[in-house]
Amino acid sequence: MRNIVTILFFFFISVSAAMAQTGTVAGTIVDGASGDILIGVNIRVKQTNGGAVTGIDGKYNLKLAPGKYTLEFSYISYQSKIVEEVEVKAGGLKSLDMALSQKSVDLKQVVITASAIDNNEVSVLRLQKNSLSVQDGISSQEISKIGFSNSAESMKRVTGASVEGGKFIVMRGLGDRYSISQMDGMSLPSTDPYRNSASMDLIPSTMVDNIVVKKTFTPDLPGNFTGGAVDITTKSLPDRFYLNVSASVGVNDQATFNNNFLSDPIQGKTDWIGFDDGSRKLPDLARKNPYMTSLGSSIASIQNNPDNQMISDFNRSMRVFADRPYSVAAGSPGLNRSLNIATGNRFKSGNGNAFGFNLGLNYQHDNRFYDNRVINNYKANISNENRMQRFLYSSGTESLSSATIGGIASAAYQFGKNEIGASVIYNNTGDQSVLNLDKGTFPGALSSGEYRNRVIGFQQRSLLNSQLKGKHRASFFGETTIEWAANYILSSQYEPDLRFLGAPVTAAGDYFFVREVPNPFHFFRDLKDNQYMGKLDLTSSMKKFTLKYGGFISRKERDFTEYRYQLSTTGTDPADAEYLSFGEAAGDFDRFFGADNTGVLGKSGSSAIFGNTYEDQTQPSNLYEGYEQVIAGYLMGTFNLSPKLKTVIGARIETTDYQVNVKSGSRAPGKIDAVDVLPSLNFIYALNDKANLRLSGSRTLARPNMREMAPFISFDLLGGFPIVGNPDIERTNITNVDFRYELFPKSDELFAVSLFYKNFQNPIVTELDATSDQPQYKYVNSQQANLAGAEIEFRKGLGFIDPVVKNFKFGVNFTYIYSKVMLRSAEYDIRKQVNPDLKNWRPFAAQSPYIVNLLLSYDQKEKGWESTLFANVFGPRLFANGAGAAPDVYEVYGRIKDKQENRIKSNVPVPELNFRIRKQFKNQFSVALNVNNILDYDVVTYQEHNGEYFTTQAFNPGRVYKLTLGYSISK
Amino acid sequence: MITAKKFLSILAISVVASGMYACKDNDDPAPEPGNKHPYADLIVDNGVILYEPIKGNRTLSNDSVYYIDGYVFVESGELKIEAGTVIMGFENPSDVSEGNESSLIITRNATINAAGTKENPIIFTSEKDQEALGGSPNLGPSNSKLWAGLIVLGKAPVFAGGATELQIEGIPDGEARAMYGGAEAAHSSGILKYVSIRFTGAEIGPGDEIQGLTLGGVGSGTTIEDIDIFVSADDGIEIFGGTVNIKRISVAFAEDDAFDFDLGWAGFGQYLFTLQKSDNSDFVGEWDGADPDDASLYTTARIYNWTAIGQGAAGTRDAGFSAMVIRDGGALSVYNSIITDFNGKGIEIEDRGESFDSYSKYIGGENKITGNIWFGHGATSILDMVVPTSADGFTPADPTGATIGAKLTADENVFTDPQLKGISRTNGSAGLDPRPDAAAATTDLATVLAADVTKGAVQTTYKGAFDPAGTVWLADWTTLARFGYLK
Repeated sequence: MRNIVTILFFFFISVSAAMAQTGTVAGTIVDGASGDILIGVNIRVKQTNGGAVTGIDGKYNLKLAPGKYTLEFSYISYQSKIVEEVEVKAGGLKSLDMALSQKSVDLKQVVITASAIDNNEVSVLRLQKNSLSVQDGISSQEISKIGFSNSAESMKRVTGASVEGGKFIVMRGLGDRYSISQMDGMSLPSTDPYRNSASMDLIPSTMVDNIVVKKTFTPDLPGNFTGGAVDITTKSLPDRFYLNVSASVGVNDQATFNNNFLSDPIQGKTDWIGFDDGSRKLPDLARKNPYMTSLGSSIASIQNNPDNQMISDFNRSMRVFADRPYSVAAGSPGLNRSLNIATGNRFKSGNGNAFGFNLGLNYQHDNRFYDNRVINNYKANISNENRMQRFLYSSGTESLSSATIGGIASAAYQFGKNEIGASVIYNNTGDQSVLNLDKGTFPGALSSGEYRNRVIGFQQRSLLNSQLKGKHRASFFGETTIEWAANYILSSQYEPDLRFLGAPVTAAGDYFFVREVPNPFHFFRDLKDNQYMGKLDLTSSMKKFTLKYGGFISRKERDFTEYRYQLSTTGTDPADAEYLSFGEAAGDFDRFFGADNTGVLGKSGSSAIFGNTYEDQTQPSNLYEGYEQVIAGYLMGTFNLSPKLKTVIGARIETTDYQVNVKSGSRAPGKIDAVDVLPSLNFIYALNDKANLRLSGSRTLARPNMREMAPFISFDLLGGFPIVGNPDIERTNITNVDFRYELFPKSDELFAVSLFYKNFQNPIVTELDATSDQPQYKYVNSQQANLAGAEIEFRKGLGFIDPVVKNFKFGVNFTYIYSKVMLRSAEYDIRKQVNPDLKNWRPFAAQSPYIVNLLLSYDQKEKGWESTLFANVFGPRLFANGAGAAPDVYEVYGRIKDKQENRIKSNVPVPELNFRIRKQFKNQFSVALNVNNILDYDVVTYQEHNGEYFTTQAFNPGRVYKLTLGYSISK
Repeated sequence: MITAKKFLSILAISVVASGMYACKDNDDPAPEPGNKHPYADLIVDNGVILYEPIKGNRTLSNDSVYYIDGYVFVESGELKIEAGTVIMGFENPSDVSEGNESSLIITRNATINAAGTKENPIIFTSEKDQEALGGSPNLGPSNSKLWAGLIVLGKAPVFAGGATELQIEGIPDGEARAMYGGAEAAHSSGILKYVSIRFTGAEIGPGDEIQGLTLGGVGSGTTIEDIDIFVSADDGIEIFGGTVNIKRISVAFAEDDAFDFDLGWAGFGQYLFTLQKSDNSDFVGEWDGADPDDASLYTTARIYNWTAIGQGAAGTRDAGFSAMVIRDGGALSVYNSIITDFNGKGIEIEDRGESFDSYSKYIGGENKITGNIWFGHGATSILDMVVPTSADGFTPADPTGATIGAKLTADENVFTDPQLKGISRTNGSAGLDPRPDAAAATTDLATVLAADVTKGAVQTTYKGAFDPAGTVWLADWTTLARFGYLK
């Protein structure tokens, strides 16, 4: 990597030397009414008589000597605009986006001063104002202001959005199944076998230009749209040369310098960039190993005929995991750190064609430590006063270390009315974790003594997205814009050698195994998705209306494997001196699991002495493969019914062809074969040029993912219930109605109120199988569900209060959601027998009743100061279903007040409060300080009964302080 | 005999497409030419592989040896098994089978008619077991998990978490054929008599194993008598609810609990025998009541004449643990039994300070533990052998166990060595004679409940499973006898 950095460095030096001391004015020109970009707008510089024309992306780019200029923007049949006092500094970039309006009777030229329009937050708002669908956005500027490091975090800023598990977006209370994540207009695949939507944390914010969330469906969007479509636009053709380098160090007040931080003794050479170098991979010898698949028969064969060759083969097989320890190493993990390098340039040829590229590299290493990690389980009695009975109580620590490396390379070429681009984005994250619950009791199975639990894991997720795309302007059907894209996406989630150990310890300190807990095992899981996508969108602008039509095809192929190898002590005899039993090892895991204690340890007379052995507990039905294929076509038209009333009407036809096969056994494959027509109708009524009313209705759908269709059981290592797939599961049909009032008092101000309602037929939910003797989740279609909500968003500068605070800006948004998913009678009728007060509905999983975001920012551009205070609060959300008489489990960011029982006393949430302050020096260097989670909340999941909050899981993520040094040049 | 080499070749068999396979028995459909079961070459000449669901009446005759490949569900009709028939399970089912372990499952819509005789018992065992086919014993107490086990499901009442019909443990969920329970208390699943079940307990998932014999919701119309369970990686026998009565059941070398009762079993058991290994075993009796603990249907079974031999003085189980436990609101009675040679303590009756816990039921007189002999190596008296429930998040009513101890003493429980005539856990030793000393075993006898007498329970003149002066019913036909453990 060092070489690449050196090469890049010299490249930039040479590029910068070649540049003259000029400045740049650049921006995008859009139609003030529709928000469409305008191609071919003339920009004339009064002082030089020079100028430029906007390209196919609606962008222009002017190089000017330092000074003050007046620019005139003109376009046929549009009203010209003159902007005065555009100040160009040597090496500086002046962003000047502009909206032009169709000519009206009044022919007076509009003259404005440049200072009235500046940042890209404005363009995001303008996009919002003029968009055909209800949408919210967040600009790259805003992302960097708050100091979010990845796209998932950034989503917290968006009205109605919350983030689940740090990765998954919940839009309007609807989990990842109902939201689409797109990058540059194409859906991103999930890297999690249990999820539908992409892990947005894989996309670093430095690669992001803006994020737009569409909340109402138009036929040009994928049909599996209900909560919203998140579209991340990565940086495309840059305005000019730039080089940004930033490096940060961070301190997590729980993890950094903490000598109790635990790590896997297996440390590969490439762990630091998030790759397993093979140290943890599934040993070849373990695959379909006959001794392990038929351990009992192997032992019997050796007992009957202790043949030396067979013993030697047997021992080699049994000892494949001997160098995969269950011990852990303690030591301070050091500082969190990150490095980002991004560069790009734009070249112009004489004939006005332009070529540009972007290159980015990012590296990040973070550590987290929860010194009070709690995992509890309860059994529920019918008796109201004795409802919550302890089953398993455990606590300890969890140590997490995460390394990410990623890069982006993109290039675009503009020629005439065409633009062609190519991009490759790669990201890889490796998460190491050690869960060490060394304090615990297990009253559900053990009358006395302790229970200890350890899980050592490594998870590597990667995403490679390569895209070719183009945009062309042609003169048929009026003016037609043709946009196309073809993607190949490779995503994977690789979890090699997760090690689980759960062991009771007697009051006397002896370790032993119990039937209620699986014996220690090694677990391997690997998911690979290959996805091919293509789309074609055509937009034809006629005199009276605009038509958009096109098609989309996507095929995803998945291969999933899961292997498990479990310790067996069946053949052992503790009386043999050669064998060290678990009790005798007294917690010395290295000796107990070591090669010397595994396999055939020797012979006593003619009979073999057995030590630990391993059996292959891989369930052949847990290996599955499948595909998801969607083909769609759509047609939509935009009509102006009156000068003030615009309508967008159209429909999309989508075919769903899904199939999942388990690789063995006689289970029927999961299959979905369906065609859906998804109509959409939108009205936009302009009350005046600052305010809109919007009304829209649509039908959309939601599909199960392949995991949900694959009929196998997977186990939750954190003590949650296992979950089984359902090959008979069906897709969900949804009807959406939205109403919105929006007011844009000034270019950077907004006030909006939205109301929405959704009806779901056959929503996919998890249900605890009430007929199973051990609680187990399955995916089912509930008959129906309804969801309604309201959103309010407000952004304003505070200058109206007093000029003293004119540099302050304030933004708030509030979302309220109410949802009802009806319980199926299969669950309700049974559970009512043990809990007569059981409600026959519950909300959607991960839906908070309310979400509030608050943003207060202070900018003093002249002196280079900017600072932001950001708060995010969400109400308790459904985390898991209760079994039998047990209440459902909810999650909240709260504060553990009862330290003895690790319980919250109230489920009122504690806000996540983040602060960032940044100082820019001489336009090139900057220093920023972030403090995240100032209020230091605890993440708690609980079951509420009679006003008490029985904790099922808890951890304390700690505060993070981060210092970032930045260097950026641009010419 | 299958040699080690042949054994490996079994395992090396690769994936073969499904279809119909060679069957050599007249009762079976004719083999389709060209299709051969992947394991067809590995079985004895008169072998028949069962790997598909059985529908309608079917007879397994004693002139064939049957092999179970994967889950074999008897979906309907009567499965008749002739006396003397041997049925063997594969440890690693073939690719054409259902499921990952070999198990015979009598669904609640079917019945089993397995009436063996003392001379010709029916044997369910591993395909490795040479003794079952007339050879010498080649397997022992450490050879568990060689196949899964026998499951019988019925329509008698069960209860868990509000559900009165449940899926049986050991079969992956979502399998409708694995449902059991109902409202027919007198339901009959058929007959199991003189049946030997050996080397069972394969695991289908973490913590999910199949015991030697699993009875789910089996009704009182069913006959379960003279059953021999020899070596299981899980429980010997586990009864989930139902009303069935069981007699003369021997469980030797179960790695979990010998007798595990749960979810409201309401029958009785008489003449039960347990022999534990000195290592790798749990309770001689794990007796759970209900789910949840205060469900209205909880286990109320009565156990008469049980002889339980624990791990012995050399046992590796923690000395603080009890040999048996009654918990989760269970109210089971134990009469005229001998629980001996346990290495630690004797009994725990779960006491969580709740009105519906097993302790409250016992002290309240719902169930009786009367007229039993206790002896173990980690205790010195009735009072000393009681394990109090440890206080973790609740306050026990009897934190020292003194109240339980006093009640046990008052109810004619004595702590004394019953002086069994011989205890041996060694193959071929001929050292096992579980008959007690006559004097100790014939005093202070409790009376068998009249209601159970009407259902077939016998008023005995002795404690324990064996008449001190009579013959040992294990003799001749059980694995303990045939493998030479018995005197």
